[in-house]
Amino acid sequence: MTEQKRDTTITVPVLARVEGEGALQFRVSDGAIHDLQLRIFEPPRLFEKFLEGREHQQVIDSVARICGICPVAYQMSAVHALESIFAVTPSAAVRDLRRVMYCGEWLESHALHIHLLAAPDFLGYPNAVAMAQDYPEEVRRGLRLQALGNKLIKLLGGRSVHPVGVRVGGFFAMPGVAKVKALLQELGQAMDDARELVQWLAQLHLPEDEQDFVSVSLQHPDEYPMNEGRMVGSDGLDIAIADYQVHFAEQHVSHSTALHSLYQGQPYLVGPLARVNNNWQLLHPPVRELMSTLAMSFPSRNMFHSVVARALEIYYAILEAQALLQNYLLTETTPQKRLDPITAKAGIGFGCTEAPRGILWHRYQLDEGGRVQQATIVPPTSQNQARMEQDLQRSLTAFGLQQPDDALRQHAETVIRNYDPCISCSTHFLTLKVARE
Amino acid sequence: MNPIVVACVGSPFGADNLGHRVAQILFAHPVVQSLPEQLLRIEASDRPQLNLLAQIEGAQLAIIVDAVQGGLAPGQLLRIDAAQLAGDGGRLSSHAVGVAEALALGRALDLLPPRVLIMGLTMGESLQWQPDSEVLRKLADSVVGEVAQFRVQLELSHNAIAPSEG
Repeated sequence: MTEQKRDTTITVPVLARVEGEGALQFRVSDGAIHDLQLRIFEPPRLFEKFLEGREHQQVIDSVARICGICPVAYQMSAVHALESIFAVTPSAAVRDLRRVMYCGEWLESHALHIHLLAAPDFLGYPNAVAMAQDYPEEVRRGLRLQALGNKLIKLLGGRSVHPVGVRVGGFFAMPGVAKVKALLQELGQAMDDARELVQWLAQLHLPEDEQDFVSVSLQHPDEYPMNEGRMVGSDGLDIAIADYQVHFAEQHVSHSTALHSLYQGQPYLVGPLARVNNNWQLLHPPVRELMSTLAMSFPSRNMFHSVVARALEIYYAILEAQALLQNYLLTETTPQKRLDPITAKAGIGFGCTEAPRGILWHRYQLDEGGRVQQATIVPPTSQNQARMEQDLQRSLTAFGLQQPDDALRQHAETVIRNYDPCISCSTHFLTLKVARE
Repeated sequence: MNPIVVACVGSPFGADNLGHRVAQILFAHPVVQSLPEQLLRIEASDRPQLNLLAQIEGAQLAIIVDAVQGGLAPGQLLRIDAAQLAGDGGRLSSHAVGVAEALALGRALDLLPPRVLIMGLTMGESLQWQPDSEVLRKLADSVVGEVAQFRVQLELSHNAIAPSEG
């Protein structure tokens, strides 16, 4: 029996369960996909323009407002850029606590993505509420991990959504011993949850879909990257963050209010899978040892392994936060001395940190009063957009274009949600239309 | 665990500040101040998302105070039993977790208190209308009324199960 080739147009007019407003449209003709467009019609948010004329602390508090899930990343990229201009070097304790805050953000963001977006897709449920009927313990575990992440952010940011604790040189308040001890106890209790999460996800029936792509992330010689490092690619790229715009270019496309980022003219991947692929040896030994007992390995070219990469980073974040907070108790039991006033300077500074969804690059040009003259913010979702379109083209073809429209639509949404796109962040981004002819 | 939790939801800033403003009135309310500390906990939180479940878990009565949109004219006090609230979590995503989505997940996981009330004020569709202090006071008084009424029920229930002396 010969397979009948269909011509059709598929449209997903509103992408469900992603942040922001977007749609997908493609045409199937002669057994191939044409004109695939991930259309982002969320209005531009113009944050970079809002920042012009603002002084440095306003920048740190304003950029936290770009996203309710990854405000720490925005604050960290900004504060590092500002500190480079002001020649401020934070203390070792501040550096450690910034990693703890970042651990909190990875925990809450990854736990939400795994349990609200990815797991329902891979297990065949329309949403987490329906999945919770059959997997209540797994969802409760996800909520515990997410809540722990929020507590870590609150410890240093004063609150978990849009935190306000970060300043040039450090924090407005260092955490008290009692709060740190209470969180250390919770981190210890969360170890089993994290290990069980990795084991549960690694045995899910994830689609086999190996693809070629360049993984781009930060890399640090001594630690799994969060706040610092050089920018590296799985193709051998190794550059200072200040040279980002030499190798990467943002461009307008007519179907998206979000810019597309390309690396040497080609799509590339940022995010947890790219980080794990580029930095596998820097994960803590217990994380790698756990993975060695499971039927999956990294580096991986299967985009659907991103969900396991997120779980590995949850386990890593718990171990890392525990070690850093234990060290904080050993070394920082005296009250923090008052930070020196900041002397504002003119200059250009760069910050790039590993947001839960991938590298988040900032560039600021300040005047002599330390006010922003020009700001550029390149979020991870806009960097992944071209890769998502490339992935959809390949994934849907491998899935089988003869499949019914509803199945194609579901698979396309699964592919997109696998990236955990934050459209609102990227509009500086789903509805699916498939045209069969 | 406090048997009654009032969770006031909303940003301290902008058009969504109703929960925050009502919380300030409740903290200073003479009836609230006269209640045993262990009876009632008032939470004010800016977009708590799924943390709302942790805030109210273990309580016997949870009252959620929030601004409400939904095609109604502004200024109407609403009292809704959460059991009547529509919502299957279809919009639940990592970023879009409102009160209805959080409660839908809490219901599926059997995390909700036996009684959950949503007490709110309709804000209209334009988000230009702002309630005056008299309207806010009425909403706060309604919340306090529910707390007082439930306290009586708790005491009656406690007396009914307490062993008799002698």
